[in-house]
Amino acid sequence: MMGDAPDRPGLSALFYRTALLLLPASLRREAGRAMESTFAEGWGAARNTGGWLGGLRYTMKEMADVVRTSVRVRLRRPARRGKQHPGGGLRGLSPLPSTSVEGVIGAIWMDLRVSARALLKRPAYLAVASLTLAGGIGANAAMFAVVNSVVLRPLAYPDADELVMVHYSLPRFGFERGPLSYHNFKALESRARGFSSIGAVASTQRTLVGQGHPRQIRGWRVSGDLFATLGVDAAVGRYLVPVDDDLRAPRVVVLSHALWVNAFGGDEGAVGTDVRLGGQRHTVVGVMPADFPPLGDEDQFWVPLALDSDEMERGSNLLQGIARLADGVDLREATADAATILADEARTWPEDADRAAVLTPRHEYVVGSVRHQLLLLMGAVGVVLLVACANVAGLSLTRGTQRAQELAVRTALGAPRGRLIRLLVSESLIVAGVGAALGAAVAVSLTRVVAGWGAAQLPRQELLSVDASALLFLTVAAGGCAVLFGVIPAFTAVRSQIGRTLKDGARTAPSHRPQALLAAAQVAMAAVLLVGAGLLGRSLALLQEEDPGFRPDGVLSAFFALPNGSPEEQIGFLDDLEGRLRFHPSVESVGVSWTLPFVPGEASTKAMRDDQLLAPRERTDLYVTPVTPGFFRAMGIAVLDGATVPGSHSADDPPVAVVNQALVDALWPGEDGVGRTFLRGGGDDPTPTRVVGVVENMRTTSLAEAAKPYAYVPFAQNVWADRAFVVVRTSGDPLVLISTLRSVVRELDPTVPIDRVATMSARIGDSLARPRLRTTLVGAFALLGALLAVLGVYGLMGLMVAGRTREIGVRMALGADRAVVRRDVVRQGLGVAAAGLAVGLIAAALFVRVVDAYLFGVDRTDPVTWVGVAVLLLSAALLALIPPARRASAVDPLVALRAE
Amino acid sequence: MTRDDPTPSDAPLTPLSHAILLALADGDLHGYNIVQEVESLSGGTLRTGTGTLYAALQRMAGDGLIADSDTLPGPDEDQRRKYYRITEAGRAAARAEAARLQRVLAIAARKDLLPGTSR
Repeated sequence: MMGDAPDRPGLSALFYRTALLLLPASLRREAGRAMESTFAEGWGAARNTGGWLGGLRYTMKEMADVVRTSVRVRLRRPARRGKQHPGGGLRGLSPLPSTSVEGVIGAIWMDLRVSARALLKRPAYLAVASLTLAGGIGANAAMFAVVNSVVLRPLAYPDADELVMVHYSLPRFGFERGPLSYHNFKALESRARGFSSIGAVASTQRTLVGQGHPRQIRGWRVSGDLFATLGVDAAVGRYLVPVDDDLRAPRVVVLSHALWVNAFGGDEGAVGTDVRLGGQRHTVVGVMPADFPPLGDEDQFWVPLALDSDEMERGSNLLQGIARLADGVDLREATADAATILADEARTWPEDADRAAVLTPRHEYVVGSVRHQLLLLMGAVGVVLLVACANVAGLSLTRGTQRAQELAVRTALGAPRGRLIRLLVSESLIVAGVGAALGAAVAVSLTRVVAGWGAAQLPRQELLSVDASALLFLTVAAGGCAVLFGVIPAFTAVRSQIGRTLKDGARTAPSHRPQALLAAAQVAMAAVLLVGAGLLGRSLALLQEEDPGFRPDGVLSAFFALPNGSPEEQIGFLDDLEGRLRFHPSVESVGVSWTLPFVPGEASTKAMRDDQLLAPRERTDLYVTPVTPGFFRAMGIAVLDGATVPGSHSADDPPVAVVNQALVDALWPGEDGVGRTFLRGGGDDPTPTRVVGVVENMRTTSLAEAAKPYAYVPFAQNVWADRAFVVVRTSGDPLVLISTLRSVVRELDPTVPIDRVATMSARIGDSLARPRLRTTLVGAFALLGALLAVLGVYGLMGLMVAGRTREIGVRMALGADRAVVRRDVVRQGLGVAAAGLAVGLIAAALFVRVVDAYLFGVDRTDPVTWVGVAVLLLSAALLALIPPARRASAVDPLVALRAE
Repeated sequence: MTRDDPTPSDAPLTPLSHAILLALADGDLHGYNIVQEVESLSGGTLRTGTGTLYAALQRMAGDGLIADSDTLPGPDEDQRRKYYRITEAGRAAARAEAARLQRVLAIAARKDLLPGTSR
């Protein structure tokens, strides 16, 4: 069940061995291995009689026994020595615990109550410390919940780790993971020994008519073995099987759970009925379960692959493979096997010669793109928690200093040192516990916020929740914090303060060295965060200033499917649509395009000059989209040369195109493009196409990448388009036009769905959502860290001034200037901050590499960022030093000296 | 602090210590054998966790009631196994505990509190 061989405890033994670390070293040395052996035998017996559940139960019981024993053995010792402490004047502290578990719990409870009373006497410390921790712990738990839900949790397939994506690299097009052809897939299916089964998928979209409004739904064409490969059964009815995957077979469809609920009200009777999908009747044969992991961003239905003869051509690469590794085969062996088979295939099809099989674990394929960013954020928020711990440690050290007198008296009255440590530790535990409880609330609300922001940005975000493992993480983090900020200072306080304090009545200034180190450490960590955040922020700012190549303001766009009919009818529909929309008073211009910038789905092919003859792979990459003549004006794309009207050309005329400057630069660098002819296509028979106009370059997928060569062609000469985007430029608010757009389309043809309506500004904004999200988060973490660090410096200097009141008083009585006293405080404080800053900048230089992948337009050595961070931190520290400096210079020598 | 001469006045043995001594009375055993033997001697009422067992064994060895056995795990056995034997002091302690229980029994009989004799 848990990867254990049936007769060996494996994982359980590992857990048990770890638990043994709780025992005193003497017992571990003497009997640790024997205990492991006994555990293994007992586990085997439990496993034999009770199955894996029996084994699990035995493991739990044994681990609980180790925990109990570890407490008992330790308590046994002092009791057996028979020394009784009188209690040492620790009013209210429990008597020495008896060896019984009840006694221990009672003693702990008593400690906690005493500590709680002590804390409540100074509620400010409790409030500040627990709130600081709550912020740090909560942010960490929220981030962990995101990482856990999105990255760590396995996909909901049986034996999900055996599933791999099969791609074919396509260096020519810069695809690391390119699609397979039907031939490739068939060869793998019949010959690959590394796979126990393999399926193929291709994304598709269809218009669903008859269930409410006509709508465009997205789904997948899947080969017959796909569902069997994934191993997930249908929730209702059946999934698709090999006999379905045939052009002559009856048309069938499997619905997603969400579509079934939306369009069919979750009625089981829907299975067996017919729906109209993409103009054809399909029988619903099944519904997949709600937790079936989607193949892509949006899975609403699955239909058989049923490729037509064109799609089966060797040059047609449109499939992604999903395979299950055969038993005992690892990824490397399977890759080598697939590579051999595809290399065989390439021998008869030289086009594929430079390609290579690429296998990616399914889980990595789904989460790979965000894993690094999420881990980056996790690291950043972890540093914030460290800053918070250092901050609270400083507070708690300060508190220890203030209580030195009290602790010293208690020691003098006979309280054992261990008891004092217990008292201080239980105080830390209370603070950490309150911090964790508040942190849980912070985590839940932060997770909601992240889920809202990240909606379209994270894969698997539907799983996002603060679950048991997130709460466990939170508990462990809180415990770790308690150790970091509580236990170490507790030992320091008890060891260093006691003897001296009573001896000299705190006449000399106490050493603040630990506090100074903590404050400097906070500044250092804050500096690291700020450098990262600064670089990301500069990148985002530069990215936002990038010119997309069109004017997005006031432009509304929407997706629609062209009605079924002849090409002439479809062109007629486009004309009518544009005509009616243009008629509307607030509309300035209207255009239609097959693809749209910042919407996935560009189509690429190849191009070369008509006076060259190049092998396909040496030709220039070219992206093609049919457009109507109004498109350029509606988008606000500047026309550099020639006509903007490829629309007046009919299907019978020689092919023409308006191209962008990037294509002209690629084919005819430094020359005019208009009037020239290029050859379009990647095959043996490319289409000669005459350039009738040249337009400005346009960014189409990301503001961060260079514009691609584009050819805009008339719809009339490119009848393969069955869907398009309409683009409307308006003088007013573009969103007001949405209802107009819908009603115009409905009047023209009620079966045409309108979908994915958005302004172009919003589409560009969406493309920036991920950089913006990570920059915002890292920035927020950095500012939080900086704030805490500055507070740390403030607290440190406040403490120093308070501890040196007498010394300052003496100096002033001897004639020292108030300004000199002030300057001393500022100089010391800035010294600590500068030392921290120096260490932080060095650390940042070591770690800055992790944000390299997200930088745009700036180098990691960007001087603005580095100098900015230094200036920001030092001036913030300076501000924080004003109050303590004032307080120091306000010391009244008479009062200070009399206070003795 | 070994107790070479345990007397009846010594504190009573814990049920687990007594059961361990009884289990080892017939011969040397390793940990898991002891667990099983203790359970069967007590009619299934005394089930000990591994941690508890070894803590008790360590304490009893410290008190001189038991000691490491000269028996080593055989070639087919788990080499991590460790065998224990009862010492003379252990036998004496077990005997003393039995005597104490006997006295308890006698008292119980006088008070008519033995099982199966209720009025």
